[in-house]
Amino acid sequence: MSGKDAILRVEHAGFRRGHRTVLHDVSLDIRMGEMTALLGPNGAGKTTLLRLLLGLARPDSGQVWLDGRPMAHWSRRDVARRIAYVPQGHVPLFPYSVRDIVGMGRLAETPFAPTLHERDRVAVAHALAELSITHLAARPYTELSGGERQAVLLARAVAQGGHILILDEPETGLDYGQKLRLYALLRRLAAQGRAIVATTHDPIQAAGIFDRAILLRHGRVMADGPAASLLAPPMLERLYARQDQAKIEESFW
Amino acid sequence: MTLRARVVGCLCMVGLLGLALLSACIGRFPLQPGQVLHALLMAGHAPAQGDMVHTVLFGARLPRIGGAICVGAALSVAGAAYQAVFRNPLVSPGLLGVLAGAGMGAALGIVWGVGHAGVAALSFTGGLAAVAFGVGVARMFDAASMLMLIFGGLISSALFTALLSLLKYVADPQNQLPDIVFWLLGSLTQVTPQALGMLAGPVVVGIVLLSACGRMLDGLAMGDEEARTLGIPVMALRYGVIGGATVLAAMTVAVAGMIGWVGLVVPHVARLLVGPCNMRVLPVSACVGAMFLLVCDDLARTLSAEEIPVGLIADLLGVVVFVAVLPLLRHGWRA
Repeated sequence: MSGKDAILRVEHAGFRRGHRTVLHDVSLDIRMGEMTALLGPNGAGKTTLLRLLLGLARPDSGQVWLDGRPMAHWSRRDVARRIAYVPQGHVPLFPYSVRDIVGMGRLAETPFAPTLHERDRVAVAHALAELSITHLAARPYTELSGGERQAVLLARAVAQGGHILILDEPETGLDYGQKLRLYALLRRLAAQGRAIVATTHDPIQAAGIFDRAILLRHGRVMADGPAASLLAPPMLERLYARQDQAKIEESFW
Repeated sequence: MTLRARVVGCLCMVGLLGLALLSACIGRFPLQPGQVLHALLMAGHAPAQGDMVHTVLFGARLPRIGGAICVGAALSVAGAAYQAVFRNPLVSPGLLGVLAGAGMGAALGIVWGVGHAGVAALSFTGGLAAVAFGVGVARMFDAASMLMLIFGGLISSALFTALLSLLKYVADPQNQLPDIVFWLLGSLTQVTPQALGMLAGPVVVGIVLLSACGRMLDGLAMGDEEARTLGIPVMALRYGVIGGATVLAAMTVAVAGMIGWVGLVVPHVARLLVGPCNMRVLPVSACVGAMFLLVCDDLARTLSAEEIPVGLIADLLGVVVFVAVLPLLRHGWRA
């Protein structure tokens, strides 16, 4: 692995939940300008790995490095300036407008400001335009469709302005056209020099979109390499192969 | 800030000032608005001998008006802050036991006969102690879990309510028990200029500090983990806001007894007026709460010859307001 432009690095990370080991000795580098897909059957440890990358959980062994410093040494605010996260769509109880939600992406810059500063407002407007959802700005987020919500959360991540974008199954609930637009956007963001990491359940499409694929199985990195060559039938059969009964029980949760 | 928020903010301030002036005029000894304004302008000068207007205004009415404004504002902003922190619009400032604890502290003071200031001090301490106990219980199991925090508050409320009942049981039924009961009904009759002076500063500071956290509280509405990825120090924010709101709520009980409902109802009215953003909801809640309690206290003073406890009026009127705005709220919530 070339450590030169690795902005985010996982080194021999292990993670346990209770008696079960979720991740075994996982190492990987996330590089600027590269689109990385994270694939694996349910329960392989994708979500846990995302949480390590986001600094939401700490590995029990090994280390996560952000910009050359251990993740634990960064404040939440400084992490948020570098890494933006796009969760799977969900709905808060209070009907915040789309502009409010996208504006939350600026919290790391101006947490105590009563209103958004000019710079923040420009970032929000730019993000709304980038996602072509400027017309939704005043609408309550709670009343949007799933695809529109996904776009809003993406806009928030763009407004946040970090170099690294981490997405949790971003294509969930999108129709075919929305998926294509999402991938085009991600390509554009990567071309601007950002590092993109996304979990996905769609290896066929990922093969054509992502630069690189990391395959997780039973909490280990099974393969890590160019998406186009890795995400081919033989490897996918191994990745998603039915497991024998003992292994199913082991990895069920 | 949107135009609508600005207009609402201005209307709230004007409404509050108008209501305060009106409240200064009405009562057993009615005054003309001109008399009130004149007396206020002349406040710096020594009053003429036997100036009834001055005595009524500065001795009785203004401290009370100030008390109603402070208590209403503090309870409402505390309620709005609690609702944001717990991501639940049905939460009141009493959730973690502050009201039960403060009530128990006051009853203890009455049973011990420590005097008015002592009762207030014990009540304030009791409120903080109850919340500290509830948070302590939560942290014993899982500090990061909101459910545990609510559970801790439930236990704390139950404990301090039981202790309050015990104190009622052992209190002298001739004089102490009526004092406790009356005190728990909530009243602004005891607000002295000195007490108001001690209350006003912290209430203003509290409202400003909590409002300054408004945008971070909005981020908290997205869930703890997501809020962290937005750069919010979730635990520090949660416990800091709980601490501030608890101090505010405990102070109101120490000064005016138990006036609980306001804190649950008023933030809903504020959200209807300015939308869900806490940067606006918190200050508007304070303003609306002040107006609400001012109206309640005016009713308490004027409805009958014998004064009615304001806590009782606030509860009744709060129910009416809540039922009235409920259809509008249902539209705003996802439910």
